[in-house]
Amino acid sequence: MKKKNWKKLLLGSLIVSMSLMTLAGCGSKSSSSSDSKATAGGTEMKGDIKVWIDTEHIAAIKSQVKKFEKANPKIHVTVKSGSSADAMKDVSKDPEKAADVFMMPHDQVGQMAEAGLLYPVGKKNTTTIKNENIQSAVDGVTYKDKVYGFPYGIESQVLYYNKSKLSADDVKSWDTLTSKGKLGTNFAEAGANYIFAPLFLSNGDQIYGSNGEDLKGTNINNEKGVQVLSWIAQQKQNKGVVQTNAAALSNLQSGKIDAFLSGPWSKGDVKKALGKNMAVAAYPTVNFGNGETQMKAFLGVKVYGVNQQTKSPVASLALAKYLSNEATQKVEFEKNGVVPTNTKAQALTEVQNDETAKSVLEMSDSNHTVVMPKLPEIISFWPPMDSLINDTYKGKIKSSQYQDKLNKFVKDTSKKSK
Amino acid sequence: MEAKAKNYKAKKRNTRFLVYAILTIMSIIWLFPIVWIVLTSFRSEGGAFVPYIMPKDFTLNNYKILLTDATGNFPFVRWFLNTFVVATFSCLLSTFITIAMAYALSRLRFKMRRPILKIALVLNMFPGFMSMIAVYYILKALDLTQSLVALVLIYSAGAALGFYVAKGFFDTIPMALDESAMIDGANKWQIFTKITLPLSKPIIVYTALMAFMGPWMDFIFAKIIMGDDVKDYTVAIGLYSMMSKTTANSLFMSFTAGCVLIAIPITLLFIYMQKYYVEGITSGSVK
Amino acid sequence: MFKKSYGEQHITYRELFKKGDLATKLSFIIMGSANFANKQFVKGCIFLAVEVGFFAWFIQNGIHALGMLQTLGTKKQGLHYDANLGIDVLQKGDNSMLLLLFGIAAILLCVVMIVMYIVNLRSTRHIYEVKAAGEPVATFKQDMSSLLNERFHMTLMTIPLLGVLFFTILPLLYMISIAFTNYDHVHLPPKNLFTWVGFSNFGNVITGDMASTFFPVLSWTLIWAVFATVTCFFFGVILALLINTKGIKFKKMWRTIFVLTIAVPQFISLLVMHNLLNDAGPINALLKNWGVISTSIPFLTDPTLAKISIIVVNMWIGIPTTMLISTGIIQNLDQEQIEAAEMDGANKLQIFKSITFPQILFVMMPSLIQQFIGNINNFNVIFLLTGGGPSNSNYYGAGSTDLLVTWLYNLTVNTMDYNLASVIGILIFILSAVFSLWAYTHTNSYKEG
Repeated sequence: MKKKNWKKLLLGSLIVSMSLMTLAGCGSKSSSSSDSKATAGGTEMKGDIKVWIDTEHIAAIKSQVKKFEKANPKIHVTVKSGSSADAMKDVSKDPEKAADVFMMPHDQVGQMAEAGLLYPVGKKNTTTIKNENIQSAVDGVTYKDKVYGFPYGIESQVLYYNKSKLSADDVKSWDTLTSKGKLGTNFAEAGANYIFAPLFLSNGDQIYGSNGEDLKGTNINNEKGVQVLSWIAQQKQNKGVVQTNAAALSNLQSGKIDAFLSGPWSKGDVKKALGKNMAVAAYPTVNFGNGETQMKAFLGVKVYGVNQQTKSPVASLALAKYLSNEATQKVEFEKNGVVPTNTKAQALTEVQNDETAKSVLEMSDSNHTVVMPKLPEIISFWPPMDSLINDTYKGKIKSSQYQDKLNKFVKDTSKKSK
Repeated sequence: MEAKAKNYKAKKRNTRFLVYAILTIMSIIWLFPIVWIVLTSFRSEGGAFVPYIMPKDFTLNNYKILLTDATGNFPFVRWFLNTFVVATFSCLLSTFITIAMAYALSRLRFKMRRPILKIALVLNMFPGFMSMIAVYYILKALDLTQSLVALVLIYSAGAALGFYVAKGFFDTIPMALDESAMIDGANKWQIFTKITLPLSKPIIVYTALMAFMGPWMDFIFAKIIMGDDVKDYTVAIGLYSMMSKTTANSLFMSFTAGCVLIAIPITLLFIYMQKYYVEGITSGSVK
Repeated sequence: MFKKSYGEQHITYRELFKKGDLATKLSFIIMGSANFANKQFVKGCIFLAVEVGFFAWFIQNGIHALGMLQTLGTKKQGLHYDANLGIDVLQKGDNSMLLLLFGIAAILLCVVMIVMYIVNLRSTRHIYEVKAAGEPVATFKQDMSSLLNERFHMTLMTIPLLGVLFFTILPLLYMISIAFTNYDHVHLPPKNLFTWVGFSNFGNVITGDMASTFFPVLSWTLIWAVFATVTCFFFGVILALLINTKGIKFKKMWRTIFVLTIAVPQFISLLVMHNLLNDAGPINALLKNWGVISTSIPFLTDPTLAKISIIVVNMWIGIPTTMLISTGIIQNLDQEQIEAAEMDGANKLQIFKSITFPQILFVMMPSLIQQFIGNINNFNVIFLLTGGGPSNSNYYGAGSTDLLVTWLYNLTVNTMDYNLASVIGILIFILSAVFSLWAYTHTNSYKEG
């Protein structure tokens, strides 16, 4: 009797647990089928989408998002703050939970596209983007002949100066600028790579080829590259060049420096520091020993990327398109001083009347800037470039070593890791 | 003889003077950054860098920005409450876990004891960064990311390996106490709760204090778990997020104001509890 | 209750299977059978539930997870053109990273299952032996009460150890495994797959291109760890002695001043120090205003000076802790011994050298070892103070002040070479594990434990 009891119990519990198991199996299957439905649901203009916006842009973008939601009542958009500079890092951490649409700088396009994090915008959008934006912005979002994002702003360093100390003619060349006034800039600390790597381009060399996608296209280990390094080393002796990084703005205010190189993002701060003495110009010319040539800067494109793992691709692409259209670019310019990429927005009178925007626009042609390379390997380009410039400026690299250092640099940064 | 005594006294006075001087100088060095934070939090002009120490204009605005969340992006009060909740719960859980582990490994004898001691020592030595992403996905598999529960869980799970100090303390309690209780018929649970725990106030307070302070300081790990969920940030992530490249300059004074606000309760707590802190660390080793 | 009457000699499981009754035999296949047969229903249910649960999971997910561990995925994520939508549509592929992580989790679950299986067999054997001895089988109540007595350690430690297993050991195994894959910046999931590559990453770090970075960074890490530990300890003790000098008033006030700095969260004090020591920071400005210097002192931008600054700032942070602890020790010192020494004509220095200091050292030794290890892995100080800078053109992905651990961080966050970072992680671990195991076996606290 007793024995039968326990056997029954054992059998019973086995049956129960088996059925539980099958149930669980069904459960998981049904959930996976609903997954595929969700993707199919993306065909319509509806869905819950999340967008990451730089904190200081949130106010401006929220008003535009409201308008977008009004036009597309089935789409619900959540705006969250997310740092555009960290887009690659934050999206790759967990693409499924990341935003559907996010702000990013274009130099992460290659890497994020290679990692399968960016949604190609599709043929129709590509045509729109090409028709409505300036060429350099289109170049910035194109990787391997595919467009991976919606450009909404361009950035390039310009020259801010104090017009009570320097005249517009003074700032036309590096030599007059630094003999008549003091230029505060950063040769010796992290961040010098972004400001001064384009010097090689100014002198006629190339970094990752003409389109910034050619891994073997760096040729700075030549005569011209050595000239650039010697020039950087000379700046240490130049009394008109003041090494300053984080404190540039406070130095500008106190009059320790009269000019500095920065992008449109510094406009408000410079205004605060200099008041009505603020003036903006394009980069000066510079002489590496073979006559004056235009000093170049990197051109950065600000982009809305769409997450490849998004559940509602159609709606997300629509939102990204909306947030980069002419109207939004106008709002972004007014509220945050973002220089537009949209040709119509660029033509607006308020843009044309703004000194900073005008200088950035002047810089945006190929004589003044080169679109920052965007191939994935660019991440291993920045750190050694920083140390190359820092150490040259500080005199840690002797002139006899220039060639070797450049050779090593080119070798290291052109290497495809297996 | 008298002259010698006088000489001795003078010498003593001199050394005392010297000690005061050294202590004063050191105090100034140690207090300088703290005073600077406090002063900066009241500064109304400039950004992250100004070439002077005394602010030119004083204002309460920096505090106001934080406490009223004027921008809508930095809900400091909410962060503060989050941190408090996380700290309280992880303090309770961690203390329980640490004390349980320490007690078991110190007072009880079982087969795996020595191996566990060695493994725990070694496990503490791996740099945590690589595992952060893994922990994130484990939490995600449990559907716990972006929640305060996840933070509590993580801080408490780490506590299981931080038992060394507490174990040292339990080692010092004489075994004879346990043995006599055992003869009186007490089981181990009773010995633990009725005899050992009442004797262990310093180490419990020490463990709790450390566990409570942890969440106020951690910013990297917590950020990975919380992601973009700004509302559920702890103060450490929140304040650190204010120091991002684009906002560092404009928000610097508010940042220091936030620092002052979180430093006050922790400092008071710590000063109040410092006796236990010292006892906790030293008692484990004094035999 | 359970005196060790059954001795240390157990019968083997093979014998158990041969001699046991049906329920015992069944236990080898269906866990908990013997418990059911002997009315230990709760126990039996737990065993059975564990087994059923495990196999349910194993068939559904486990086999797949374990199988995928071999290749780490074969199907690439892709995009396929959808004519209806006019855009490409995502086709999900395998995610090597998740496959690796969950593969390892699956192995751990299997290990847990095996442990449970053995526990089940033991329980079966126990029942068999008890019955053979003619004693009654333990009731549920007796089992529960043994959890508060003989098996109290299980009650205390099971949950914490499970936490350790899944939140420390699992991530750790994952990290170690990555060192044997090619998970770097060209093999980033979700689109790309990575796979096993054996020991080649180790070769790269120790002998290849990375070696010229690894060894200098390693030696700076060691120098830093030694200096940071020794300076904080030594000056902390001196400070404690100064405060405790006879005749000094306001002892508590002095102590509190220094304690303030322990209570300020580190990330705050370090960020502030970063600001203070900046080329344009208040300290340089002040010195310039006073006319002491004409150009800024590059506290954090000159490689050598930066290293010194870091150690000094670390002293600012670390000295108060040592001071506090050694104060506690000094106050507990055997005064008679000191007085006796004074009577014998020993001067202060001698007393310090042969009585006070050895005593403090003895007590603080374990915490010193811990501090040393902590300093090898001291991320905060470097990350927040210099960020690894100033840059160094001889290094790959590291700056002059980078420690191994911050270099590791750079490699994961900036260059996304997880495999190299993981190798460095393993090397750091070997370094600190060897040191601490050696140190602990040579100190008293371990010997007694």
